[in-house]
Amino acid sequence: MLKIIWFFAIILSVPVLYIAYNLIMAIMPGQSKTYILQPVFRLIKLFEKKDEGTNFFAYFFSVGSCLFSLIALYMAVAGFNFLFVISVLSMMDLLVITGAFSSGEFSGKMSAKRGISRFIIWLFTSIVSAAAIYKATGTLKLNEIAYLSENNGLIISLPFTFISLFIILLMKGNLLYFNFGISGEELTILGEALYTPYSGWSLAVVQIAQWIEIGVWLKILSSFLPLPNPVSFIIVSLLFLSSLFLDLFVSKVEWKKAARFSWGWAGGMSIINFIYLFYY
Amino acid sequence: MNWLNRIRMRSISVFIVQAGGCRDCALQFLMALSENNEIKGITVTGNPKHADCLLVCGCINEKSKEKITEIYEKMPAPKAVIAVGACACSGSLFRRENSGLYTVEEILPVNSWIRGCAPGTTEILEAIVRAMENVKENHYRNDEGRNDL
Amino acid sequence: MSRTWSEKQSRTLMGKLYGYKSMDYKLLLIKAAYVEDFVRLKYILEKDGFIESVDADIPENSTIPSVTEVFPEGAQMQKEITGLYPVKFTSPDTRVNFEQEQNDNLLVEWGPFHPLLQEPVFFSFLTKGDVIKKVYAETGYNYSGVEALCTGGKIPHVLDMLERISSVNGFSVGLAFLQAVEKIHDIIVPDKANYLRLILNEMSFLRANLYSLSHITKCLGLLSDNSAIFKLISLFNEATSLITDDPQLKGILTPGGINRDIENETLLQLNVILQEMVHGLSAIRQRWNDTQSIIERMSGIGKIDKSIARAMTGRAARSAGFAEDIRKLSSLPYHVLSYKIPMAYESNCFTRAMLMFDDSLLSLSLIDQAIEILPKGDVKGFNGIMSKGEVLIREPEAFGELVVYVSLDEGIVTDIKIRNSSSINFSFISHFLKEADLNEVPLVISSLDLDFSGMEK
Repeated sequence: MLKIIWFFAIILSVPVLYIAYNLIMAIMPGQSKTYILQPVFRLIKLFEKKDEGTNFFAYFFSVGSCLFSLIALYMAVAGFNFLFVISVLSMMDLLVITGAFSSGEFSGKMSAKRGISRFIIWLFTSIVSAAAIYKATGTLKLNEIAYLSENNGLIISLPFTFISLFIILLMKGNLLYFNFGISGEELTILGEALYTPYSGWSLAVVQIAQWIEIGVWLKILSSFLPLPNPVSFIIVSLLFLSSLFLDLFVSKVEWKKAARFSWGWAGGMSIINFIYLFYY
Repeated sequence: MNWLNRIRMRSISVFIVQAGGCRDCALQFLMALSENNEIKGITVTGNPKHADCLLVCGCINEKSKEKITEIYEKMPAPKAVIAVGACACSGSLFRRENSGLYTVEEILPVNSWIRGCAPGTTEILEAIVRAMENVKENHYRNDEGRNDL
Repeated sequence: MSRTWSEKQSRTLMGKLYGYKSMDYKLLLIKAAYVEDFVRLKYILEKDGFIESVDADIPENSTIPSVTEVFPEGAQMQKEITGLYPVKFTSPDTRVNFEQEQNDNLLVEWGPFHPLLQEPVFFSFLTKGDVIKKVYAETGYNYSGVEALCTGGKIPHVLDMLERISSVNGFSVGLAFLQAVEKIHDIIVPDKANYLRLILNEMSFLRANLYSLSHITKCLGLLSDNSAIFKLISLFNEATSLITDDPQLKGILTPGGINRDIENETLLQLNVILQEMVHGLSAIRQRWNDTQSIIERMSGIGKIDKSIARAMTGRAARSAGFAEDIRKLSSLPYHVLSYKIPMAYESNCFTRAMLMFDDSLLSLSLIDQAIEILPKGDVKGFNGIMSKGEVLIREPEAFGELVVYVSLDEGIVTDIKIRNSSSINFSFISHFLKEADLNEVPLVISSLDLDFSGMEK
């Protein structure tokens, strides 16, 4: 029962975070050009749109990615092995990237290339982090890691691993200096970038998949904090919300620079923590 | 379903076509987006597949007519077409017999016309919102006329 | 009896053009007109204020050598002539040649309509990875033929049309046209009218530069600066509303002056509002100058060699160190005002963006000075005597030099040709974009200030 509650709570948590962001922006003078419930309005509008009906691959990849994100969420909530969750998230990411590539349009192909770079970085970071976690705890099961965190203060042994996983969250959220320019939120020559082949309900489904993926990373990160599960999840969510605000003041960098930052911060931090645990 | 219409009005993605002309209509629209805080939820997109509303500004010639029609075909329904400014509505001062100039009405089914040279910022946003509110699904073939308002 | 264009005639034509090029002449305008069964091409060249022309009578459906071999800035003007007259130019810059060089490069197409493109242009890029190796640009999506529409029109009607061909430079085009009319009809414009025209001209430059800046901020993704620039544009609109309903300043100009007097008090109020912009513009300029990420991103792109910048006009030339002062060509009283032309010494996106700020501040300073020394008197001169004649006018516009050729006959426009700065600068687009990252294309193009008015119209 608790798992079902967690499952639906996490699905709703990320849209609630974006709505909270809009709410705070609406309070700040002269900042808001969107409604508070904008993400929800957009989703409902997209479901109402009639897709062209000619792009079977767009349906396949969008539904597939959403399915995998739901499986990953269930596994994260049920406390499965960290690497199992990562492998399911990889499938989800690869489906989105392949969908972009299959569009045949240059923006889809170019953003698929950037998506692959991002994929390699976050996968490498996750694997090294998994090794560090195993070295520190002797287990990779998320529920056992959460138990050890609450009782033994696991974050003291894995501070850099926590930071590197937080950087992965920022990469997935297209925030700060870890924005690869494929979210479609900024106007560029790449059009809607990674989401080029999708329109109508398939775009809505991909959006939901993206939100669920962020929810999964929030749940994984909350396993590291020495607090009860709900409290640590709220704290990690608030950290993510503050990153959304910080993003307003940070200028966009070119994607290769974002990739270098990501390697340095995400990959580098996870390696540092692993080496520290291995030798000390 | 009124609630669906209301939601559609609150999340509008606009694709602007600056077909030529002086560019002031498109600049007025961008001005409207930056200054107006009452009408929200309108964003600009560079991908017709993600657009709800096509804003056509300027005089259309044979070359741009093909491209505009292509863009319109790519947009998924329900969609609205808005002719902004005197050039798009009637050709303005530039219209002559056999001059090779098209108005938007001659190539696409138009939902709203906003006259003026250039129209006011509030008028443009209100016309977009009204057009999306009243848009219907079954008028999206090139040979069909405009929406019943 | 039809004539054909021979190889010898080609060599003679090119020889003359090479001769002028070796004497450092610049190409101002290429005019075409039907004369019996020929197309008369007139290449108008200029050096230090001296105008020369080279004429060639081309039989219909002939192919002649391209002027780009000598004057690369003539590429766009030639394209327009090919569109309107039965004359072809030999050129390596064709779509077929472009596609033949594809090899294993990726072909990427962009345009003609996109929120980050100021004017409709269809770009084809050959890229290796993300880097552009070759560019092919196709224009002509603008409604074409405003010059044909003007031919045979009466002066007031032609003025109405010319003011509407560009939201940012329409006033300058209308002004240049009126100056041509006044010269042909010997109309003397009163001093006060000239000063008021100068003030309005600088206001139109200010508006154009503000819109260019807003476009650059959009390309950079700096939403807060974009909002700040739009606030300045609202301030401008507020100031303009004191004298006219139309921020484009349409309907104020008339042959001989302006059609209504503007009181000193109104001008002073207008000036107070406009001078509020100085602080805002300087603050944004300073912030960009101090932000390393903006400098790094923009300095590395859109670079142009001095040798190529020499043939360009506007900020593209000034940013490379060429002190191009177009205002001194104007018949408006710029000579009584004190100003220094903003310049830089290396042409790239960043220096051109900084010059946009400097040009806006310069316009504000010139408006301030002109209002201070505004003379008294009438604002409209005597109507002049209808006569026949033709004249070439060179005036400043917001983005560089504007050249207008007008031929009148008893109040009817018999021929008109407009060449603005984009006509010259756009010919060098491939130099700007070569080796650029595909992602930076909108930013590079926005620093070029594209305005296709009077070109392709």
